[in-house]
Amino acid sequence: MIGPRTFLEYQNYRYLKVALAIFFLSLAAYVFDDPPGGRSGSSWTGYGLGTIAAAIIFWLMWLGVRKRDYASAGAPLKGWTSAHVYLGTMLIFLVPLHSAFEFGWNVHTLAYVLMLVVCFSGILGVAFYALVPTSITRNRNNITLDAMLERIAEIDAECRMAADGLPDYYAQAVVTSIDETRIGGSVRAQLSGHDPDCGTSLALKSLRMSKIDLAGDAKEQERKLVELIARKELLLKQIRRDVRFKSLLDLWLIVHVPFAFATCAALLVHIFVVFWYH
Amino acid sequence: MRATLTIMGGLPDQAGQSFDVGPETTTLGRGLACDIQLADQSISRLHAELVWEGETLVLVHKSQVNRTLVNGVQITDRLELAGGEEIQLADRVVLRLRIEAAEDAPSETGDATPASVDETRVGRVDDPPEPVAAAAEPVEAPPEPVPPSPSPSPSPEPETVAPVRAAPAPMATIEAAEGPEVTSAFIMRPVSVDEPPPDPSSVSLAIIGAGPAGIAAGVRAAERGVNHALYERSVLADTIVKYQKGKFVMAEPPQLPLQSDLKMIFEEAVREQVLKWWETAVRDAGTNLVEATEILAIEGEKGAFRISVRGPNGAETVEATHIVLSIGVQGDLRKFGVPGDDQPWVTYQLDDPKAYEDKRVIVVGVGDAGIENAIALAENGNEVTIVNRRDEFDRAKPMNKAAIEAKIKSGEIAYLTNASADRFESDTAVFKTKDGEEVTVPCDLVIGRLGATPPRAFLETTGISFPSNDKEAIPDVSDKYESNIPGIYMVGALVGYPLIKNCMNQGFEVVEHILGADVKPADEPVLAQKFREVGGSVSENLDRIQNTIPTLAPLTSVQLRQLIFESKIRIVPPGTVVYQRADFDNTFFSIIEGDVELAWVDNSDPTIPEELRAERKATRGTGQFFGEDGLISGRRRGETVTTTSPCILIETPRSSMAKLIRSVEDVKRVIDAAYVNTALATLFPSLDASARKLLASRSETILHRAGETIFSEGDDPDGLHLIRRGTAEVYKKHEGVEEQIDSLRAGSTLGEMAVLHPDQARSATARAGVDCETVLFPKDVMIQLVEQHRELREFLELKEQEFIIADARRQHGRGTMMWLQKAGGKEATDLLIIDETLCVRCDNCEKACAETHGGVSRLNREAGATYMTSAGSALHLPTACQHCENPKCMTDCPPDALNRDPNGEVWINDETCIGCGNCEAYCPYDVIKMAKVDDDPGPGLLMRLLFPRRATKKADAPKPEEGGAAAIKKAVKCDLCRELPAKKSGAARAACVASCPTGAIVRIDPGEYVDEIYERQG
Repeated sequence: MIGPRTFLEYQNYRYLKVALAIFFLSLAAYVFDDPPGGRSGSSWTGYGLGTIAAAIIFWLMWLGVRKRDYASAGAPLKGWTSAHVYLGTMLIFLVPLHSAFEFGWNVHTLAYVLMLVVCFSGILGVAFYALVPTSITRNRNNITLDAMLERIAEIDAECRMAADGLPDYYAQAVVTSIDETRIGGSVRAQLSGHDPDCGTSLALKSLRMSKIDLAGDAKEQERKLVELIARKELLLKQIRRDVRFKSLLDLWLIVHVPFAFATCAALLVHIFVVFWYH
Repeated sequence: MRATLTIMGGLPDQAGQSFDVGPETTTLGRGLACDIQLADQSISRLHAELVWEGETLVLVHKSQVNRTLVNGVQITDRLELAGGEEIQLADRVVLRLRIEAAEDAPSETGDATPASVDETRVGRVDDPPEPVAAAAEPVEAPPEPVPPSPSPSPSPEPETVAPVRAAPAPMATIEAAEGPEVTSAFIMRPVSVDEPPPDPSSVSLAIIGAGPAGIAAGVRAAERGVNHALYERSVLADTIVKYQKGKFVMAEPPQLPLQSDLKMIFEEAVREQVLKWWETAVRDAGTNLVEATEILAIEGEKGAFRISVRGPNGAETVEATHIVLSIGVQGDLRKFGVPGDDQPWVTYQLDDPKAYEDKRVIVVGVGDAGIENAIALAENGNEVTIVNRRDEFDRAKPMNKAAIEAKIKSGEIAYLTNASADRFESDTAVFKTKDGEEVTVPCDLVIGRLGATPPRAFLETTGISFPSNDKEAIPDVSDKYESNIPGIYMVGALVGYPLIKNCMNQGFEVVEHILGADVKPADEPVLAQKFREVGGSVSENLDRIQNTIPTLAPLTSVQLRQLIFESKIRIVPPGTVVYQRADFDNTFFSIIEGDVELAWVDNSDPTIPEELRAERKATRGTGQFFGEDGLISGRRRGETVTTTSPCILIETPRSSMAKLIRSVEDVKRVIDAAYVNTALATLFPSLDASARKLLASRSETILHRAGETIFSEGDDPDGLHLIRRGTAEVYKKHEGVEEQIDSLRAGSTLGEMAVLHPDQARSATARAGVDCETVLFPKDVMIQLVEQHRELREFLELKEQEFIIADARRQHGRGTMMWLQKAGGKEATDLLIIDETLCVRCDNCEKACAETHGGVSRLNREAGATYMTSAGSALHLPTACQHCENPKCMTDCPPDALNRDPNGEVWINDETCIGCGNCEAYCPYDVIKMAKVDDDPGPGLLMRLLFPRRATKKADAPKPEEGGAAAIKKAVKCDLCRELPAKKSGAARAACVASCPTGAIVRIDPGEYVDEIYERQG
C-alpha cells in the first residue's frame, strides 16, 4: 500500500541482503579455509561461524523483548521482523557450515534439529501471515466480531419471544440452541472451524423434523423461529471461520516459541560441552 | 491634506464612526473588502470611491443600481469635493466629509505589498465609536465625587421614597438586609454607575439563576446589605447536584484566583464538598434564596423592573431596581403543557434509573436523553413505553438509534409512534395519534424528554440584543456586565464564561459594580504577570492595545481582559521566525508594536526565482494582525512570518478568537476582509491592488452545510469559488451515474471553467463534504480580469487541466477515493490506515497504545470500515483520531484543554481537562473516550516480559467508585505519541505504527495518499 508492501520488503530487502552477505562470506571462509585435520566445528573457522550463529540466535530471541518495548525510539518493529525472518532462515544453511556437515546422535545435532523446527515453523508462520489475513477480511465482511456476537445475543432474545406460546417442543429447540452452542474450545475445535455438536444446528434439525401441525399465528411464529435459527447458524459459521483463521495465525507460534527456548537451552549445553570436554 | 469621513446617519450601529481617507483610492460600500465598509443592505457592494487627484479629493460614483448624492444633489459620475459636504449613499446612509491640512500625513504603505491588510489601518483612526470610547478608560476609578469604595457597613435606614409594589415579593422576607420596614427596599430611583454610588439599601436586586455566578452574587449582595433575592427554578447549584456521587468538580484555570473578599469557598473537590461549601456560604451570608421558582417575564426599566415569577405558591410579580441574569446556557426544559401535567408523577428528568423497579414508565421523546432513559429503565426491570411524535429516530446518535430499535424489536420496550400527549389522568396517560385516535396507557411514571428551549428566546423577549443570528452568538455586556437594557446585568456561562471560577468572580464583581464600587478584577495578577516583561501597569497596557490595534478596539474591557488572559504576550527580537509555512498550529497574532514579514513561498526552496519570492511577500506592522488564514480554515499555515524589528505580539488561541468572532461583529468583519485580501494576493499575485480590491469588493462569503450542493452539473455558472473552510467534493456524471472525482480543501479554488468558458454550463457538481464556506467571485468581474491579466488566465487553465486529470484518474482510484470519503476520511489531516492483507490481528498496536498511554488504548483496531481495493489490498480505517482539519472536539472545551500542535496533532491536556465530556459529544467519529487514566507508568519491561498478560483496559471499562475521590474520568484520544521520546531520525512517533510487526498500519496525510493510491493502482 504505502511504502514497503510487507515487512519482507523492508528498506528494499535490506535484511535479505545482509543475510545473503553473511552467508556468502561464511561460505567463502568455509571453502577457502582448509585447516590441518580437515574442516570441522572445532577449527578456527568452525568456532568463528559458530559464534556468529549463536550471536544471531540470541539476537533473534531478543525480538520477544523488543516487541514489548512499546516506547522504543529505535527502528520500527517491522524492521526487526524483517531481519528476524531473513537471518533466521539463513541459519538453516549457516549452521551446517559451522559443523562442517558433521551430524550425529548427540546434543550438538539436537540443538540443530530443534533450531530447524523453529525455523520451519517460522517459515510456516510467514506463509500463514501472507495468506490468512485476506481471508479474515473477506469473511468478516465489514462486521466486527463483537457485532456478530451481539447479533447472536439479539437473535437469542428474539427466539425466546418467538417460542413463547408455542408447544414445548419448540421451546426445547430454542433452549438447545442457546445452551448447547459453543464457540472456540480446544485448539482442535478452533482449527476445525465447525462444531459437529453445535446446539444451533441440532435445534434447526429438530425444528425441520417437527411433525406438529400449527395454525394461524402459531404457524407464523414457527416460520419466524426457523428463520432466526437458520440465520444464527450462518452467523455461527462465520464466527467459527473467523476463530479458525485467527488460530491459524497463532498456531505456528505454539511450536515456534517453546522450541526457540529449547533451542537456546540445547545451544548453551552444546557450547558448554564443546569447551568443557574439548 | 487629511480627509475624514464620519457616519452621520442611517447606520445606528456605526453612528459617529470616523474613517481616515487614505492617500490612495478609498472604496466605500457594503463589500467585505471595502476600505470603508457600511453594513446596510441598501448600499451596493462597491458603492463609491474617493480618489486624491493631487490636493483635490474626488468622489466617484460606482454603483450601478443605487444612487450617490452630495449635499442632496445626485452625482452620476464624479465630483470634486472641498470638505464639509454631506455624502448620501442610497436612501439612508449619510456621511460627513472633513478636509484639513494635515500636520503629518497618514502613512499608507499598505498597497505596496501584495497582501497588506489595509482595512485594519483605515478603521477608526480618530473619534472612535462608542464602545471604544468607553473602553478607553477601562477600570479607572469612577468620576470625582465618588469615594473609591462605599462604606462596607451598609446603612439599613429606611428610604423616604415611596415604594411601589405590585404583589407580595419574596424579597421582602430578607432579614439580613432589612429593618422592620421591609417594603422600603423597593425604590424607583434609577441608579447608574456614572452617578454617585447608591446606598446599598436603595438597591433591590433580583438575581436569577443560582449557579456559581448567581450564588456568588447572592452571597456578596447579602454581605453588602443589599436587599436581594436569588431565584432558582430548581435547587441551588442544580447542575452540580445532578453530577453523579463522588464526581470531582474541577477548578480551572488553575492560575485564576478568586475574588479575595468573596465569602464562598471553591477549589477542586468532590461534588458533595463543593455543594456543602456553597450551601454554607449561602446560609452564613444570609442570602435570600428562593428555590423552585421560575421567571416568566421581565418588564419595566432600570429602577423599576417587574418580574413575573411562578413558585410553589403560584404566580406573582416582584419588583427590583436591578436584575442579574446568571441563568447559564442550558435553557428551559420543554413541558407537556397539557391537562394533568402538574401531577407529581409527570416529570422531565431521570436522575437515577436504578431508583425504579417494576414500574410502568412512559418515556416521551426520542432524543438521546429519552432513549438512554428508556433503555436504562427497561434494563432495571421496568415496563417501559417510549413515545415518538414522528416515526423515525433521526435525532439520536446512531448507537442509541440501533439500541432502541433492537429493544423495540425484541419487545422489551413498547413503542408508540406518531403520538403526542393529550392529557394525564389519575394513573393513565392519554396520547393522540396523527390520525386523531386516542391511546390510553396506564402508568406509574411519565418522563418527558422534550428537549430544551435555549435561553435566547427568553432574553430576546426581554429586549436583550444579540450581535448576530449565529446560534452560538453571545449577548453583549458592558465592562460592568450591564446588558443593552440598563439595569439588567448578565454574568457567567450566559455571556460566554462557562468556568466556575470565572462565574464566581463575575457574580461578586457585578454586585460591586451595581453598588458603584471600584473592584479590581480577579485576573489582575495574572495579567500583570503577562505584561511584566513589557512594562507598565495592566490598565496602561490594555489601553495601549485598544488604542493601537483596531481589531481589538470594539471589545469591552471584560472581553479584552479575557482575551489577554487566554493569550500569550510575546516579545520577539528581530529576525525571529514566528511560525513556518506548513506548520499546523493556528493561533492568531496581533501586533502591539513592531513589523513582521510574511512570505508565501518556501524560503528553503532554491528553485523559486527571486522575483516570485519578492512578489509573494508582504509586511504587517503595529496595530495589524496575522494568522487569519489558520483561524478561518484550520489548515496548515500558508506563510512564514519573520519579525523585521523588535516586536510585541499577542498570540491568541484559535478557540478564543473564534469565540470573539461570534460575539463581536466588527472583529469578524475586519478579519474576513483581511482573509479575502490575503487569499487574493497569494492566489493571483500578478493582480494589482486595484484589481484585487475590485474583486474583494464584489466577493461574497457563502456557507454551505455538509452535503449541500454548491453548484450542479448543467447549471449556469455564477463565478469562481474559493474554499475558505471545510472541504468540497466534486462529482461528475458518467453514463448517467454520478461519481466522485475530486475532493478539495480550504485554500483551493472551485469552478474555474465558469471563467474560462463562461458560455458553457457547469461540467461537474460540487457539494460541501463537511460544513464549508466559500468566497464567490462573480463571473463578470473574473472575466474582465482574465482578459486583462495573462497570468490569471494561465492559472485558471492549469486548474482546468488538473480537473481533467482528476477526471481521468477516476477510472482507477475512484472506488478507494469514494470509500475513503464515506468512511470519514474527508477531514482528516492524519489518517491511521491498516492494510488488512498484512494485518495478522496480533493487536500489538492497541497494546502499544495502551502501554504508552496510561493503560488506555486510544485506538480500536477492529472497529471501523474496510474496503477491498482493485489492487488487492484491504484498507481498513480503525477507530482512531484523524486530527481533523476543523476539529469539532475543540468547539467547546471550557478549560481550553484541547490543543493543536504545529504538526497538526490535536491533543488533550490531561492536567486541565475537567472531564465534562463536551469533546466526546462533539466528535463525529467516536474516537474520544472518557476514561480514568492510570498515572502509574505500569510495570517495567522486565515485569511485562515475566507477566505478559497484563490486561489492556478498554476506555470505558473503569467504573467510578461510588463516593470515592479518585474517580475522575477525563477525555482521552490519540495524541500522536507526543510524550514519547523523539525518534533518532527525527521522524514522527507513533507507538502503534512502530509496534506493528508486519508494517500493516501506517499514518498518512490523506492529501498525499490520494496520489499514492493512483500510483499503486495505475
